Amino acid sequence: MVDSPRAGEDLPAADDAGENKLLVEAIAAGDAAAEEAFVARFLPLVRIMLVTRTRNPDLAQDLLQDVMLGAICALRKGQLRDPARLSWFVRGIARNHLNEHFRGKARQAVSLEFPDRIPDLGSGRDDAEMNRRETLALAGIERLDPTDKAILQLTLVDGLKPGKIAEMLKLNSDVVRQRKLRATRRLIQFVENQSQKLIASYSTARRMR
Amino acid sequence: MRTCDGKPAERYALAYFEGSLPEDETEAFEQHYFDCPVCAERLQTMRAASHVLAREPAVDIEALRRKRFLSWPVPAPAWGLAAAAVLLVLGIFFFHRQAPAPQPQLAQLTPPPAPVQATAAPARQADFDLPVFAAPELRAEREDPHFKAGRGAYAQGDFPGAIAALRRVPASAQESLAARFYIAACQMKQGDLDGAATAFDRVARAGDSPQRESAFYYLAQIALAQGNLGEARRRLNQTIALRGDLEAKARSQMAGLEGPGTQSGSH
Repeated sequence: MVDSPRAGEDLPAADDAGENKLLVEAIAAGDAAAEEAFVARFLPLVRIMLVTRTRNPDLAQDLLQDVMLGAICALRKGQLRDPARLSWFVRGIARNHLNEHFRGKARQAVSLEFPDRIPDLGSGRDDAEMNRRETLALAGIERLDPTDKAILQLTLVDGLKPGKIAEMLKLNSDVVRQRKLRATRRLIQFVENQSQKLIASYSTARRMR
Repeated sequence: MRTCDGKPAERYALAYFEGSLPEDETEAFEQHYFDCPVCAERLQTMRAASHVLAREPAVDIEALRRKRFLSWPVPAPAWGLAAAAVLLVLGIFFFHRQAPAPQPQLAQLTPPPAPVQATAAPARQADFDLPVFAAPELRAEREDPHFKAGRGAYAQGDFPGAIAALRRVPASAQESLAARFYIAACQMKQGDLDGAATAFDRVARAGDSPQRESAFYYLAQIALAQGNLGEARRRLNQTIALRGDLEAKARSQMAGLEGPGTQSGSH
């Protein structure tokens, strides 16, 4: 599947690199809007990573604050020399916090240098977005075949592996994997199609106004 | 990373969430979605789905199993037994008919058995439409150059060119199984059905892969074209059992095989 990253690979495309450079320079120059943009881009990604790695949403939320503040403080100090590696940098900070947590080290970093001015890192900032996604996801899930829905639920909620699900549903594990892949694809496509329709209808409504 | 089609998230999101990806692949996938807005968006959709599913009532496994039992495809061994029973009955019937007749004049009145035409109708059902050349995972970053060349030739209908390019895809490349699959598709299109069947069979035997369902399906088509209805049924059942995108087509063909005039070609 995804090969391990190798040197020089997985770097952002040129236009992404240009955006990263602007963002990193603006944060180093003290631009609050750039920090907001940085948070809007990376907070959801870091949250997914932390929730997935810790399997504990509360702990993930605590670590998320530390990671984002740590990243912003480092960027303010101009500690990222190669803006093209911005995403590596953020992910690296997240990994360090995770490693520290799993090694049992006390959380300490941000309390030592808690900045005066910080962007909004509260959970409220993307609640509306999350609600929108969940509404669409629910509609997509309701359209799935009941067995596909069960496989997704047993995987995502109960954390069961395909072999165990296969045993429970009296299917073979190849079938479970295939159905899981298909259900994922259908769900994503449904949500994306609905999102595009919503965007289109919103644009039309704006034009009519 | 803006050219990613979102397939990595589609394929690996659940394995990532369930923690079943090896650590090196987990890291590579994380780095990918940190740079890829398409995959990041899809991951967030799956995260929302997991929240929704957590609030849904727990699955009634027994009810599901009962419901599914009614539409379960007949497993290959059962087809084998049924075919054997039909052949046995037909064998006894023809044995008695072809045994030395006590009254020759009576035997002459009996028309000779019609030549077996079983292959003609099923062969017309065979579906040799080319499979879509699906994008391999993370194609945008490091698609094998031979695979890319093969894709171009395939899209142009240059099957010898596609085969030549795809054969140069190294076995260690992540596209190697897909390359074998498309080589088989090209061979099938060129009329080399035996070669295609061998290649599709290797893909199917390689285990779970995005190409496995299609490999079973095309093995069924080749068997249909060759009039080997027993093999066609077996492969169609394997296709149906995977419950994928080709399930409906396979079921439809299976129903067609159960029509009149198609039994005697069973091998």
